[in-house]
Amino acid sequence: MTEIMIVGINHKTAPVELREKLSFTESQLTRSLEYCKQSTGINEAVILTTCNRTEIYVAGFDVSVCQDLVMEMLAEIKQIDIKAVKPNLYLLTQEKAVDHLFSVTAGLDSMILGETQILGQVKDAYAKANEANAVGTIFHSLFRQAVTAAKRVQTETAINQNAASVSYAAVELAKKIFGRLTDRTALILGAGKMSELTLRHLYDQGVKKVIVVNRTKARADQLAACFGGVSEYYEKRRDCLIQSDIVISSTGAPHFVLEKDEMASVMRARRGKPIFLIDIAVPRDIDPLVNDLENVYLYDIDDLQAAVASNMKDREQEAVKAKLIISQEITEFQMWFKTQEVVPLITALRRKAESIRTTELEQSLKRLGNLSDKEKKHVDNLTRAIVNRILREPVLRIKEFALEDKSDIYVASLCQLFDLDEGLNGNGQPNWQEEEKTEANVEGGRV
Amino acid sequence: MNNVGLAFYILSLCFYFSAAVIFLIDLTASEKQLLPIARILLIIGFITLTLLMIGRSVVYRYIPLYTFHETLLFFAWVATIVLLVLERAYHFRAIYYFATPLLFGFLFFAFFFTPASVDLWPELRSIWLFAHILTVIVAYGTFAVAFVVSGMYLLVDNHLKKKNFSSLISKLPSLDILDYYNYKLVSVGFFLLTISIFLGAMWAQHVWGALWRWEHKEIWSGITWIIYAAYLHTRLMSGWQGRKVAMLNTLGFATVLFNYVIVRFFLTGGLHQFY
Repeated sequence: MTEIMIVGINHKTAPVELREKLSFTESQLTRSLEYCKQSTGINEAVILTTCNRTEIYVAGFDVSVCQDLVMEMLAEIKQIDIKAVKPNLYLLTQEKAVDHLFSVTAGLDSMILGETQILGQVKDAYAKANEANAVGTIFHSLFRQAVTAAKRVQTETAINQNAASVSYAAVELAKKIFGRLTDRTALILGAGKMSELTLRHLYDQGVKKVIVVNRTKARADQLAACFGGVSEYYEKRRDCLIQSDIVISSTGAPHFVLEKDEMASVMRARRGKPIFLIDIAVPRDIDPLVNDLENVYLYDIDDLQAAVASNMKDREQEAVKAKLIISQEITEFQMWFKTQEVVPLITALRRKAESIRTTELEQSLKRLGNLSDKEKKHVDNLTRAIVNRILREPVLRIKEFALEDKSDIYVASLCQLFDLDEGLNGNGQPNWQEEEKTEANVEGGRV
Repeated sequence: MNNVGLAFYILSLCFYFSAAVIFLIDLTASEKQLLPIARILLIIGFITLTLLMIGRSVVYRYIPLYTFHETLLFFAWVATIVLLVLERAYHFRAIYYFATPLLFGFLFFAFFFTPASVDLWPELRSIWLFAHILTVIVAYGTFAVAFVVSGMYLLVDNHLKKKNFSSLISKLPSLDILDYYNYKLVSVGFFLLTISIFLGAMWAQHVWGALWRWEHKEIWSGITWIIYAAYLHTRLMSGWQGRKVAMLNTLGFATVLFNYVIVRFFLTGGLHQFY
């Protein structure tokens, strides 16, 4: 019986220095997949490698053999002393491995709960393994189901709806005020790293015009050039405030650079048009009282962090729903997986019946002598129908028993009753694995 | 007709009520599948209401816009069309959450007024009068939706100012969009209100020989007109947006309600005694 296993390392079990050691380059990935294919004992393999995790998914008949093989592969390809990293590795098998893949794909195991980048990375890992012909029936089905589950989580829950970082939170608030940002003007007061990051997000959302105001004009010019904007002298900041809709302030000033009175006069000059002030400076640049003015929305770094914290809480609530969806999809996969255990048996049973049928048919046809082609065909169909009819119920039952985890005893008795041992060991699993591989390749494109 | 009419009325009440409840559940919980269900219920309620009004016009042989009961039904009917148009054509879904309960309120309010028909005097059968009532109710329906949009604006504004990050506002549109719809709706309502006042004056001139008689209804219509004119003026001339204009719009709708209900029952008399 095939078992599924993961050997992995992630941000929860290892610091970045260790994770780096186990992350795969493109060529190492190809070599590793080749290694897995060559080793007897590993039937299927997928390697997922991102900056937060490296996970090797393997299917084989014996977990401990698979584990040793994977360790050997890691030692050989990554050129590391495996004993040193072993305490940071996790080994998951069967149901646990399946559960793990599903929650990884849906972003529930990610550093930022519910992020969707991982879905693309899982798809990618699967595609690469498929290209290398390292994927068979089981992983084909497993990964397809995991991707389906993750997509359902994305569409049916709000897990990825809210911003998970301060700069994204600022962008979302801007959108809540202005709708689309395409005809808005952004003003940067003080060109720091953080303001640049926030500006980049705003720029990606299509902000029309960027104005940069800095005490040192050279730095302002430089930043403005990056975003096709204009730079202005610090003294002209009042005019800039009048023109702008979104202001990111992060000067190094030790006192407020924008007080309520000044802002009130700016608002009059703006004829009350709404303005979004983002104060990410510490100490703060903008007097908090400015927020009391109508149509002025002032957020400081603490407010934005509170927004992110509240979003993360929402994500945790949504994660509960996500788990429910995932467990439905896991059940579906497990049902399929369990019936796979009896597929070789069914194949053997069918093959046996078919061989009996053909031998008997040949003998009878010889004895019957000159039958017309039509008559021969009729007899052939008749025998086929009888065999199929007889086997129909047992095959259905075997599948049902497989679902109820009772297959072992029935497999054993069926083998005894029909003398199937030879068929099972001789042509069973390796054979279907080969057959199904081509199917997996064809369907791989659809995932 | 009475029993059948009553049945249709109760049916549409039930549909509007369940739609309103499901919309509110959808707003507070994040079950994404609920909105289509509530919308279908609303549409069924709307169809029932339409059948009810058609039935009344067939049986009583006049367009049912003459009793208070009838105008309330028509009012809810018009506002439903505004909602459906806003959602279908402009994807303004959030309007359902807040407007449907209000519409149910108006429909339910009609319960307290007799659904009996009126005998129309010959003067009342004038096309001028009919057009006068029709336009004013359509204007009121539009103002009602605009009022809801203003309420949503104030809600979002308040959340943003207070830095309250409840998941509620993630379901509401941006301030910019709310302001835009508010402006459009008030513009349409104001246009219709102006036409209605003009038509009413023409009818009064035609029947009683005076354009304007300083009746309560007329005075309050004038006040409503001035408030909405002030709204549009500030919006156009000074580019105002925000809390103050939203409040002005709320005030405008308050005078609409006052004129429609209070003046009707407590300051009646003169030519507007029916309305």
